[in-house]
Amino acid sequence: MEKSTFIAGIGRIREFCLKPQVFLVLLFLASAVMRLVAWDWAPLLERDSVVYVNAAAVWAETGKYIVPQFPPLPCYLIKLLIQLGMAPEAAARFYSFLPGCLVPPVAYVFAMEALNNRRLARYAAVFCVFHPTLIVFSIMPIRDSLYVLLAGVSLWTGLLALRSRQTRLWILCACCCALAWCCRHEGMELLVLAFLGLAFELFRKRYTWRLAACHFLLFCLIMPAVWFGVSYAAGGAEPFRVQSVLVLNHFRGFIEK
Amino acid sequence: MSAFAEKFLHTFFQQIPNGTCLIFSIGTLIAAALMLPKRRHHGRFYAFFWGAFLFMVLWRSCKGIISVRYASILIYPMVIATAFMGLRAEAWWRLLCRRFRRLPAWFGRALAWIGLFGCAGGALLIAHHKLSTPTGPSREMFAAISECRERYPDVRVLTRGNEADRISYYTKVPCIPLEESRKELFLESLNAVTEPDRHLLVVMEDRHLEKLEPRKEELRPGAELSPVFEKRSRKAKHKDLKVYFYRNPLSFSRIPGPLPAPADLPGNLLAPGSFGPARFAGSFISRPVQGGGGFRFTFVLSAETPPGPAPGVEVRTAAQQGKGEARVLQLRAPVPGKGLYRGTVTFRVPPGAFTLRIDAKGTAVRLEQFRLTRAE
Repeated sequence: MEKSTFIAGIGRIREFCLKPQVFLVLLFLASAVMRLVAWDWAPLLERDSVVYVNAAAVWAETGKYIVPQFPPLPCYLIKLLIQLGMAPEAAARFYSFLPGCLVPPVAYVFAMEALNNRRLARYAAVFCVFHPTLIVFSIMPIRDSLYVLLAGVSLWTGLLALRSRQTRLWILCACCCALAWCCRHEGMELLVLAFLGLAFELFRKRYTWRLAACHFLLFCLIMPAVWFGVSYAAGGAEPFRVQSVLVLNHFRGFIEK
Repeated sequence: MSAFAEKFLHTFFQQIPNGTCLIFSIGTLIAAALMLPKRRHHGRFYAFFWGAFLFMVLWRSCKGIISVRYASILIYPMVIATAFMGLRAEAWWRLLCRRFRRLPAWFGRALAWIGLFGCAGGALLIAHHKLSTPTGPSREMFAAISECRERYPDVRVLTRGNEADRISYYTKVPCIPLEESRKELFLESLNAVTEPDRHLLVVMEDRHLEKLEPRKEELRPGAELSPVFEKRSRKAKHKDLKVYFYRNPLSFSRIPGPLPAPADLPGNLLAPGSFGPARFAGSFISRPVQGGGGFRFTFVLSAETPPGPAPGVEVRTAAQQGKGEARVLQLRAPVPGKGLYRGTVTFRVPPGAFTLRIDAKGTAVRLEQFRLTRAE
């Protein structure tokens, strides 16, 4: 084979691989391989992971949620997988593995939307494939893997909504934020970020007062509504009550600080 | 320094970077934050981007976070900042090339790739190190505990509370959790064990195990604590692990097989009871507890009592040893209005086989044979 033909072939492959859709699929596959390799390094479950696995297994068996102090969504998803026929540990591993593999593609689209620089977005996504903390999140069944994914999707949809000023995107963003909140109470900060973003766009005069107020009000209504709905539907009355008290305590603690 | 400032600095400089950037320093982030607004297209947007990031870091620093996982959302801006710095390296090299003409210009392009693969490789090494060197219980330790469980099926594990679930999950051995890893707590729990045949595995973890290890004179007379597993870590941050096997001096077991007929027992020692028309449906005898110079048994009798005020129930027990020596104990355990009669009985028995008999209304409602042996 001639050298020029070989280089042209490499170039074509590179061009194909760097197409956004192909690149996203490659990112997903690379993360999956990386996480499977890392799984071999740490086959034992972490301390907190055992709590989730046990709670989901008991929930699937007896129908009782034994850790109401934890947001019920992660355990509920593991429970669903167990009810589909998976072993408790396998279900929990799969629950954190899949969102973990989706984080680099989400980082790519988020970086692309935030900075509009394809090369930078590619670099950021590749870092996510190798990021040690993200790898640990993906191979250990804890709520952070899903939380990071949902928070990334929330940030991305939030940026899209800010840019496009479309109401449906604000609704989508509010739903994603609420789901992130269902995994971790830190998800509440996304509400403040939405406010900051709208205030900033208002300052730049890209939004009218009326539209900004409407969108923020909509966001403020949908996010807690989805959180209430999902928390209640997933865990029932008792975890929902405990979660509500915890959220109120978070607010109180933050105000006291 | 005030506690608040200390917490702020700890969260800002230690916990957040630990969880989010690790090898990517806070310096990189600040440099990226300063440089990004200079870009023309999107310039104003960067202000919001970094403003939001600053808000997310600051509220965590003010409130303080227990685990680095609470800052996991910050990974997104961190990786973007790091990627940006990698790209800037190329531009900086070009500037250097203008200043020092001998430097090769092609290296600028390579620098970005070197930065990318360097960071990725570094991250990979850190991930490997983090995952392959567990700080807590290891697989070997679980194997050692499981081996003990096979020899002694009723074994329990005494350990620090936050590891109890994991040990229980991997070994299927029930755990007795302690609030923290302190020698006093371990000793207190060991000396509180009163069941004569209770086998315990004590899992201790500390950087300096010598501080936790109890001396023989601190244990109750005759008790033994023998090491089963030991793993000492060379790393300063990691903990040492040790598993001990604890055995009380006397061992106690129920003897299976045919029981002697009630007639063979010293039933004549029992005075006739006077507890009215009660019918006993069943009984339960607990494991004995060592104390008071003998062994204390707790038993519960299920009885159907007639309506109206419940009569006092007199229950008599007899413990007969192989040599024929017996002690009869009387006890009254009236529980008005309930169908259950609860009582305890304590008697001294030397090592050997003996029979415990509980009589109610002149009938043996429960017969059990036990063996008490001194541990070797």
